[in-house]
Amino acid sequence: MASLIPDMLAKLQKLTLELRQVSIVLGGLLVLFFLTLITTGILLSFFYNPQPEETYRSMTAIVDNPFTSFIRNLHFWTTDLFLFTLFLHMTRVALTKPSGKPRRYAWWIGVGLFIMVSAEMLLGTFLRGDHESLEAYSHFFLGVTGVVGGYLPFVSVITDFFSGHVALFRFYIFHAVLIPFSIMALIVLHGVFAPTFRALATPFKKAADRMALGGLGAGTTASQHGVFSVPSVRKLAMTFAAAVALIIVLSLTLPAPFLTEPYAGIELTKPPWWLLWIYALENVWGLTPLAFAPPILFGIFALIPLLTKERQGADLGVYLYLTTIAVLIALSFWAAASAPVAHTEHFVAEAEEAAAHAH
Amino acid sequence: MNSKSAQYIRPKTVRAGAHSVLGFLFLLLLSGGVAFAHGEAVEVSDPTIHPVTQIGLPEASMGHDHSAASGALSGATRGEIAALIADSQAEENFRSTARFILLSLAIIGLIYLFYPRSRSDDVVTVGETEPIHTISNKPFHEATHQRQNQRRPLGQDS
Repeated sequence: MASLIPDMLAKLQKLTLELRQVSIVLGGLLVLFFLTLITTGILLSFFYNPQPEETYRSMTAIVDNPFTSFIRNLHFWTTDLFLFTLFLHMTRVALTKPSGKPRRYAWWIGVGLFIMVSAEMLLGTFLRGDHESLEAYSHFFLGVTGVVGGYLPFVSVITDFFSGHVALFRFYIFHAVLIPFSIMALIVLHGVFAPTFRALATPFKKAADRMALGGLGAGTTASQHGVFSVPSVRKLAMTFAAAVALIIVLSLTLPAPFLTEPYAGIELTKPPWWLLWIYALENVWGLTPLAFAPPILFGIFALIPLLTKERQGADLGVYLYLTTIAVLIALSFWAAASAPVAHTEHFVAEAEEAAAHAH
Repeated sequence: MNSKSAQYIRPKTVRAGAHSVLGFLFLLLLSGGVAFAHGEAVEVSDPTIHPVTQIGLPEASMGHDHSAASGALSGATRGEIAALIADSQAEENFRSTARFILLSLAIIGLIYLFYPRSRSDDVVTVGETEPIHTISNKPFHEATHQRQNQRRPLGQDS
């Protein structure tokens, strides 16, 4: 009985250590999720049709077929876990302080990655072809023309480019080709500067070097057991295996949402969970935050390394990051609890009135 | 390698100045710009641009083509559409709340694990719990360690 408490304390200490080690390989986990998303995305692209008249029908066919539906669910839940892990990875890095040149650069490139991932997620929502997809597109379109266009008139070039019959196809090219390639390029650049990324990549580099020099055979313990004898790689592999198991269970039990056919001019849905914080701001200030909130958020994240000092203890960078995340989560909770509010309908109604007057 | 016939595989220093990079980008943008200036690659038929949604800036036109809401939903009322999506919206609301509860808990856990305290002994290595014989590489240190921020010559950490 007397040894019970020390035993429990020892187990707790071991668990803490395990969790810290897992937290350090989250960046590697993100790369593996990204590869999973590419794989499932390629499989889905065989069945998806970006021609507007056929989009909803092709999506219905994907959802109705057990195999393609499962692939779509895998894509959806991997995306969810990817974003979840991204937030955790950012938090871990912010807490371990992105100070010093290499880690600052890694952080800023990471913010670039965050922007690209956000764009990728938004485009993915547009491609769904259901009612929520149209509402998301309306927000994008009205946010750019109605709000940003008021300050920077030339942005209509963007909305014109993504309008009309070819809009979905262009979104599709961006979602499936351009942005994933940009993300991959930024991941490589990120890896050049991020210390834990370099450490995770080292065993693979050594294995590749040994292969290039004539086989994995001779010599060290690592060469006998392969890269999986390296603790960090093994930890990453085990975490990824657990994550894949979770994704498969979620995909089998909770299908990805797919709403009714799109209906123009009526706004009834809320955005996906990772956009709820903007939705909360829209509930207060209308569409305006759509144009300003994301740049402000990215700006705050970019500012953090400049406020981080290369010494022990918390500093302004840590406080700013935690406060920002707390505000984002609070806004998201609020938006999830609130009733749906229409933010774009009056724009369309005003346009209809203007068209009626013109006639 | 010394024979003349092998000279073509001699290592050469590739020089890429800023002007060549910018020139390449210029050509890339120029070709895209020219294509864009010539208008849509695909002919846009009249019904695909919806006049009621031409809002915002002059000449800015809106619409996926599927915003036409053709088919079964044409003429559906707001209430009818709301009823169609009510269940999935309620489920999404629940899922979103659950996600944020989990995310909050995970972030609180990370704060517990990594909050930067003013101590010098919170260095952890990934290999600490592993048997020594399995550790074939230098363990990688938690990024709080200031050594991570020091400049090292290329290859020294491999």
